[in-house]
Amino acid sequence: MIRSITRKKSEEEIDRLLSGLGRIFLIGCGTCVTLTRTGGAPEVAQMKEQLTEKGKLVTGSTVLPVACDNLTGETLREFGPQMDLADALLVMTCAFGVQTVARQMKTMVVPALDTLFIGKETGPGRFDEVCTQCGTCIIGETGGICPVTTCHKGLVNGPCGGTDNGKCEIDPEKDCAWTLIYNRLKELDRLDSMRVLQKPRNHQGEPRPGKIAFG
Amino acid sequence: MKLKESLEKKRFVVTSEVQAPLDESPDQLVKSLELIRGRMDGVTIPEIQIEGIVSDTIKVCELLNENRFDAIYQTTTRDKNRIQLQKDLLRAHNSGVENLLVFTEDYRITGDSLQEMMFFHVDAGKLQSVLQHMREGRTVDGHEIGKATDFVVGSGVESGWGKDVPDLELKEMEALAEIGVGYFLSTPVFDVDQFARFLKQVDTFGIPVIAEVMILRTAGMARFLNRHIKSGMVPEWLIKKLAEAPDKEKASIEIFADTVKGLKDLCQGVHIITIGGEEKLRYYLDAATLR
Repeated sequence: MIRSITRKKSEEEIDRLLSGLGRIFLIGCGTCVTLTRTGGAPEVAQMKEQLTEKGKLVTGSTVLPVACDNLTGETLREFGPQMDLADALLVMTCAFGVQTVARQMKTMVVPALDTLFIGKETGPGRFDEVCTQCGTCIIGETGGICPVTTCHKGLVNGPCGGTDNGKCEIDPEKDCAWTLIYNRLKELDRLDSMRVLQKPRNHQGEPRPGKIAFG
Repeated sequence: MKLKESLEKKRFVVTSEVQAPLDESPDQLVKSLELIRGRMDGVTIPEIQIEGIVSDTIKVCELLNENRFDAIYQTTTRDKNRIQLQKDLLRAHNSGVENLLVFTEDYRITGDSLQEMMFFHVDAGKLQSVLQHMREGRTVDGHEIGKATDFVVGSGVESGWGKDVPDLELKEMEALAEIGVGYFLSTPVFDVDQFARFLKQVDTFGIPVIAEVMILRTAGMARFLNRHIKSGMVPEWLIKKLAEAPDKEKASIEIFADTVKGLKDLCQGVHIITIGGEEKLRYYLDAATLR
């Protein structure tokens, strides 16, 4: 399962974003942010307390089942009077949810979270970024492990000098992608594919913003 | 003697790094290099320093070449994309720079603009994927540039392994040898025995290996390297020696001289990192009897 991974913005930033806005409606989400404990029911309740202490009036709150779903607008309209009273909607979901709300509602939206990456669940409460949706997948040559994402530097031609006993120079908790790839290719008896010199990468596999319509 | 010639003649090569100064006239740099004239085979001028940006590196390369110091343009693929990289390589070549030293470069941990993005669009060793085109007189996109653009390329290798060099590192060196690197530059050597074990284990494919030697002036500097660059990089006994020495400069020179003496029979040269204080470099060279 993949999840949108988020982190709560600092109190100072939220204060700044809500400066001059006295009445707030809070929106959480029952999916990714509930799992990551950044925008589920307990966090929405905590935020309500935080804002009340700062003298804001919380006009209402809800935890949407799936904030990024197109039905979000319909669900939110049930809270019409409470939302109409609000100067802003403080949205405690990932940016997909925030933008879904922004597209469907007329009130100003303020994000309470930063969206970090799309994470692959690797264990209870553990998520790894394994794909950055670059549009030019090369994992057929790297044992199914993406160096563009897993290597901090995104190197496609083997490791840098920062590989340290299988870990990355930037964080000893992070694996060196090229050690993983090497070990995997060795297991598969395909080490020869590491000898292929990859050309400089195509950084425009899918020029932003991605947009597609399936017939 | 130029770096290329020294490497070919298998002399014990001595190179050093100087900084393209932001705050002083480059002429001052030439004056401090005059103090060591004839004792260097090449002088590297990096494009970035630990504190952040430096002055126009290629212009300083040009100035050093005019003053008969063989300039080595030290660039990184961290802070530029391939367009800027090709532009810089062309400009360096047109300015008469013959040598190139490339690093993938560390994750930026100090200095200016820590929040700026890092490119790494091409990695250092395989910068050849760009150079091989330019050598044939074309850009990476195949456009004619009218002339062959080639350099003597030095490429960094991770030599911090004792005898347990991972296959991965060996493969990396093999790949670099295949694509025509001119010399390997080690990571900083503080423990000569460990470096000897590394060299014994690796096949350098006939490519000269130059050991990087960093001048340690204080114990604090050594601790910084261990904390921020790599844990255990500077051995504890060395930090202790510097910390307890009544005369730090004397201890610093002794440590340098001992390291270089140990390296003379092991590899084909030393690359000295002074981290400022170029004017004192001659005392270090004297102590290590480097020409």
